[in-house]
Amino acid sequence: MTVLLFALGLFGLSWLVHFAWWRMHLPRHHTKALMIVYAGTPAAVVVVLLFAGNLGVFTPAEWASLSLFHAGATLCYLITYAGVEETSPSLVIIRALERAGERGATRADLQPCITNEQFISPRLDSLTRDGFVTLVDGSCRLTERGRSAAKAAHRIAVLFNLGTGA
Amino acid sequence: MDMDQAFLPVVIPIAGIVVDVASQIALSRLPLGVGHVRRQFLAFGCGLAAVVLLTLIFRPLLGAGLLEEAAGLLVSGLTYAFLGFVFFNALNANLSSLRVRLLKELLNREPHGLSATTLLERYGAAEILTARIGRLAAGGQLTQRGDRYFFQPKGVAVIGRFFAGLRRLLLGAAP
Repeated sequence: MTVLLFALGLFGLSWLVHFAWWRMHLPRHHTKALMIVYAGTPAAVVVVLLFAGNLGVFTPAEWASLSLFHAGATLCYLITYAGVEETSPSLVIIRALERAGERGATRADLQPCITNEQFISPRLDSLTRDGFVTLVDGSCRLTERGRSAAKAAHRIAVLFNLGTGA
Repeated sequence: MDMDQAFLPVVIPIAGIVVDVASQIALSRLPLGVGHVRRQFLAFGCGLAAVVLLTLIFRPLLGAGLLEEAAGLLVSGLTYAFLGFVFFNALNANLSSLRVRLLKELLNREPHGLSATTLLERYGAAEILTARIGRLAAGGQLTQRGDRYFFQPKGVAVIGRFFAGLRRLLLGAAP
């Protein structure tokens, strides 16, 4: 029970630090800042326990369980936060249909919700900015980093028998 | 309880995710007549069953009292759920993330690559809209009557409201 409560409390404390920081001053690089908060907060707690001589409150196995719990919860939150920062095309379509209500919407009504400027170009730009793609003689080509990422994605698609999608 | 048994709360969720991944590999090759997302839910269920089963089997070794055992199951279950959620999203990103699809397309076009214009034609807004409407319809998230689409208050809509609320809370932004 103590492990469960401590794990929940630790994640909750990390979230409060995250919330307070975002409210005071929105960081430029959200993902990096989140990783600092969700790694730094438990590290700070461990340091406090160490100096207070209370590190033995949990056994090594319990610390391992707490670490795995917190790491899993943090990864989930990072994934969730991506949905806060960028709206997915599916959510935009659903919101448009909700607003349309009983009238519904045709494809032509929905088309303005999904534009190249809003969804496509920013993603293509981010691939270039993050070093996955480079422009050579007007052609987009993969960098070494991009090639590794693409091959890994391809292997995963083959392993899990994933088709094409959008 | 010896040292090996003490690490059961770590081993059990990891065993669960291994079952989840193995189940997904198997289910993806079976003619079940259901979509990709439902197969993922089935695989997650297999992993969760493994977590519950392993916890019940090793229950006498994990702790004293019903409350401690329930707490132990909750920690293992939640940890597995977190790992399962990461796996779920990793697979879906492979399928639907535009960035991943662009990378795979460029890999197929090596060494010449593709112009940005061609990429936008192949993966442009019209194609995204068609594919997303198809997926949402297949998942029952919208219905179609004639040439009109209609809102269904299901999973994606709930997720949308959650994100809108969290965005307002953290970023102070209107949805």
